[in-house]
Amino acid sequence: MNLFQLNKQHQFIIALSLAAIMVTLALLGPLLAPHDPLETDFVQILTPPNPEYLLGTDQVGRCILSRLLCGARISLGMTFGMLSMIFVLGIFIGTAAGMRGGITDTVIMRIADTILAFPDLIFAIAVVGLLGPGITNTICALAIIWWTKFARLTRVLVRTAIHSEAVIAGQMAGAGTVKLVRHYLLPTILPPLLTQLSLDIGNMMLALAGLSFLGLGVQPPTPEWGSMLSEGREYLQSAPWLVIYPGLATFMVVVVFNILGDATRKYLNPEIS
Amino acid sequence: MKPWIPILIAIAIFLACTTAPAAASKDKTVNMAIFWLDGDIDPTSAWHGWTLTRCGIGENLLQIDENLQYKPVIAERWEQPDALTTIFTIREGITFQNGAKVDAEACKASLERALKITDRKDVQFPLDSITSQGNTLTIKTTRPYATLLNVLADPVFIIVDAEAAAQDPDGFQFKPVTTGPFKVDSFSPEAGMVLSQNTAYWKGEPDVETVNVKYISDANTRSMALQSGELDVATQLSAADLPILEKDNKLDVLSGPNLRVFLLRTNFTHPWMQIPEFRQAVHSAIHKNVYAEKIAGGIPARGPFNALLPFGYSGDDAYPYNRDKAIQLLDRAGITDSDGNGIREFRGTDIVLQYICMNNHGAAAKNIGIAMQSELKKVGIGMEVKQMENFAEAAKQGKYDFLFERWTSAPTLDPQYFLESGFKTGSRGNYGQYSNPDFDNLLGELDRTLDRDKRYNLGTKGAQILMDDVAAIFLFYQKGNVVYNKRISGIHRFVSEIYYIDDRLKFANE
Amino acid sequence: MLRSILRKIVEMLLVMLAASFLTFFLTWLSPGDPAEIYFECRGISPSNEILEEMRKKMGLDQPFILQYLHWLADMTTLDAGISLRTGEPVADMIQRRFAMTFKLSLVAIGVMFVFSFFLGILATLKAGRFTDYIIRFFSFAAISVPDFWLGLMLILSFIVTFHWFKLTDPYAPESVVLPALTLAIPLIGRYTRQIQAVISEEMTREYVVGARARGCREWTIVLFHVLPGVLAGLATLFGLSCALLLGGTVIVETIFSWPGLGSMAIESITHRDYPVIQAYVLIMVCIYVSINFIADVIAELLDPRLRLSGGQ
Repeated sequence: MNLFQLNKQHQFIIALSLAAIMVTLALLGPLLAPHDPLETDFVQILTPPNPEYLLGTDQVGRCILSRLLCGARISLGMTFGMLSMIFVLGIFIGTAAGMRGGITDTVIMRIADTILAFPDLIFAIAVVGLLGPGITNTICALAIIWWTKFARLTRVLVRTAIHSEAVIAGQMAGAGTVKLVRHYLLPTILPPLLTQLSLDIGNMMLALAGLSFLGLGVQPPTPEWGSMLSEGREYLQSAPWLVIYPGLATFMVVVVFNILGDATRKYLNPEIS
Repeated sequence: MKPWIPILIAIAIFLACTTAPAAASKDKTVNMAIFWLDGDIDPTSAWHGWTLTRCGIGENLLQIDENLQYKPVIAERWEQPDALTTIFTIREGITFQNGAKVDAEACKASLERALKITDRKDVQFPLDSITSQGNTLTIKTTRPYATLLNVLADPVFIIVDAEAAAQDPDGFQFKPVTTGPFKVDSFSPEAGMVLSQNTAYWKGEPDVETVNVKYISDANTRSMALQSGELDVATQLSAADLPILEKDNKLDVLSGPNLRVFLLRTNFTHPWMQIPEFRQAVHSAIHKNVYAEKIAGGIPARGPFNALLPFGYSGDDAYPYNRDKAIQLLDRAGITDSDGNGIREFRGTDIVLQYICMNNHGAAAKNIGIAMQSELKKVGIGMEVKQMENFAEAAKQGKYDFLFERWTSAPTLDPQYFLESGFKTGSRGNYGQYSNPDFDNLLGELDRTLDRDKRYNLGTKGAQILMDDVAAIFLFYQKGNVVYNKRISGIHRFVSEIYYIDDRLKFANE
Repeated sequence: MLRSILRKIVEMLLVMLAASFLTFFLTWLSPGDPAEIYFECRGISPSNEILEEMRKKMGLDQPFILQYLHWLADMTTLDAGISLRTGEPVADMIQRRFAMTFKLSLVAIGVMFVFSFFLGILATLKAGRFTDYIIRFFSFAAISVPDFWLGLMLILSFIVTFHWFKLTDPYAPESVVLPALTLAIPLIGRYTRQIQAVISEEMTREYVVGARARGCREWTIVLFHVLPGVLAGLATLFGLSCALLLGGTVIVETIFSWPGLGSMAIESITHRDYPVIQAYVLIMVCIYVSINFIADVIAELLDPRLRLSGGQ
């Protein structure tokens, strides 16, 4: 409960360090893993957690803990890869629409509105279902929907900022477009965008894991948490640890990033809340 | 406004949902699960007839019983006066479920309908004529056809009321008119079927009034439902769940080999696969027995035909596990790792084999690939495991080294079908383009041979050639299982997996 | 008002048209040949002539745009073609399965409304107190939990361990409980937070302070003064969160072997049954767009400010 009573800065720092720990764990995963995540131990197939295999083994005798640790890099890497893609794309297009205005603005926003009218997961299912499963297709499908969110937000922010005194002063001082964007616009529009970004990380991780669970995302034997869970489903009763731990890991990471999202929102935009 | 009102409403909604009336009295009802169901149940299309035989709905002239022996059913007896003629005597007093009489004429109409409209090529036989007279049905073939009786036992040739089928083809595909102890009351491709007893069944009224056939494709669900008592009979349970089910006092588990064999077809179009030492090395590098027993829950395979069959093979495996020998073989063949990256090269490029299996081959198919991947790496061979929805395209284009296949290797209890359709030079199913003149000669001889024992002998020899050549890695024979609640009896495990329940189904306490 | 609704209808139709084009275009891009898949699903390996004939019958030999127009024309008459796998009309399959998905979603939405309004309001009233923290904790956990995992854990506890529910009889009325809960819990978490945020912002308004001064009880203020004012905004938020609901049905139906549209979609994907996938996607987009349209209209009806300014 104390977390709620800390001040915003402390909350933010704690959340950030938790997230940093997760990311470090993911990066160091292969080093920390006690076993090779792809190595099969035929003597110990479907063994419950024990001192040698702390979280047990799966249906071909692979160490679950090692697979979770190595899978973290894939799960997080996928999310951050997609996130940076839509973030950059969204900011770029949004800024262009906001700065240019006129017909560019109208066309881009019309397109964005139409895309936003699509339910995101259904669109991903459509793309993957028709073009074939695979992580590239999944990420592209979700990115096609989600960039619009950032583009719209950026555009609104740019339109407001463009009329702010600082930017007008910059224009008067004869700054070129690039300089204007870098020195005057970005500092103003970045905090709300980063807030939005941090709030979305958890959702994106869940969406990607969900699609992998359905067999539409990462393909086995790659140790991704969603696909580990879907492989383990068959052993729900005989070896529940195959299902419990990957789910728990996903849950924990999403909680941490959601906490970070909340803390960022409070820290960067104190006027909300 | 009391704050608790909304939560009370919520609880009320919840209770309304949960306390709905319990399932209707199931005294005389048996709940069974089938793991596969398609859009309709007309026996002539694809494998739909299996649903009818599995649930005791349809019957053939003759069937193959749980001990792999012929069993007269609608035909009381038969004789073969010469190599081209088979004469069946149709049992007296059988009626279709709509009351129409079953005589030779009706059987003739049913067989002719099946031959005319079925899309299954493997059940077509060289028919000359079918004639009927009273209770005598005579089938003549244009050439001696050794497996006629076996083919007629296929569910495609379930005896149906062809007249009813012609009158109402749309209704017939969901409620076929047959002769079995149970008849279809309702059919839904998602939920399954509700069956009721056929009170006019020729062996007497069945003990069970209603059978609820639930279509449950997920093995895990079937296992949980057996334990909770929702199901009385289920088959094809996951090997991992069997120990749990065996511990359950209210359940009985029947388990043993069936006729399915799982194999990895080798692709001979790849130059490295043409090197016998390479194929032997791969075979020696893997713990096939462990895969079979611990990953797939089956029986290690020795060739395509399991020892249950009269032409089965019970000797030693051709290239048993021996990692050192595998390494020697590869070194001797000049396939070595010269760039030191841990993977051997063939003509300068790393060997990375492609292992392809299909989604509906189940988890074992993929898991064996993963295990092989890990073991082949230890002898310096790379492998990628791919699971696809459908591998026909990959197979046709030859983009694989190992193709995971599932076969019922002797559906008619004869070796010819498997050997010929899978491995004969140029045959359509021979995706790996395996070719061995000795093997082809043997097939020619098999086609000309009518004597049963000689045929069996040739079958064993053919299988031996395939094993020696590593035309495929024969992985394991599936263990079939049937689990049932002790409140019912009369359940038998059929090696063929074509039958689950029949007229012997009873409640145990009676 | 009427004009804005008309404009929204036109927009809605345009989105549906775009969706239809997109799904058809994706199918056209896809690597598989429907004629081949049709035969493969029946275990038949056809000759080239038979394939060619089938392609002609399916209209695959025509140029893309003609194929699309034909397909669109069929779709508008609710003819979605024939399933490659079963040979059954897709419209029949959808009709049968739609009711199940509808039932599941309806119960989930009901549960979601009841719980999230209750929890959202309670959290506002008890702000800073223990109850508030409990609710926050719950809603936080609820938005972070992977729904597929939640569903499996519910099965593990309530079906495998306690035998409270049946697994094999989705048509029994009580079977809807666990799937609906799995679907509803993440939504409850999200919606509770939104309701709490909207209401607590309103609670600082003057009219609330005024009502308090008149001695109104807090619950009365929230239910009769604040809530009617914020319903419009909440309706719009609900419309948007339906994307999550529709996506969720796919996962939940797969886990619980629920014979609805979502599990149908996944089965069709594994069998590359394109006509079914197309119809599914189109239906889902139409449902989503319609829900948002209705939510917008309701928001306008509820909010006098929106009504007066003509929706903008």
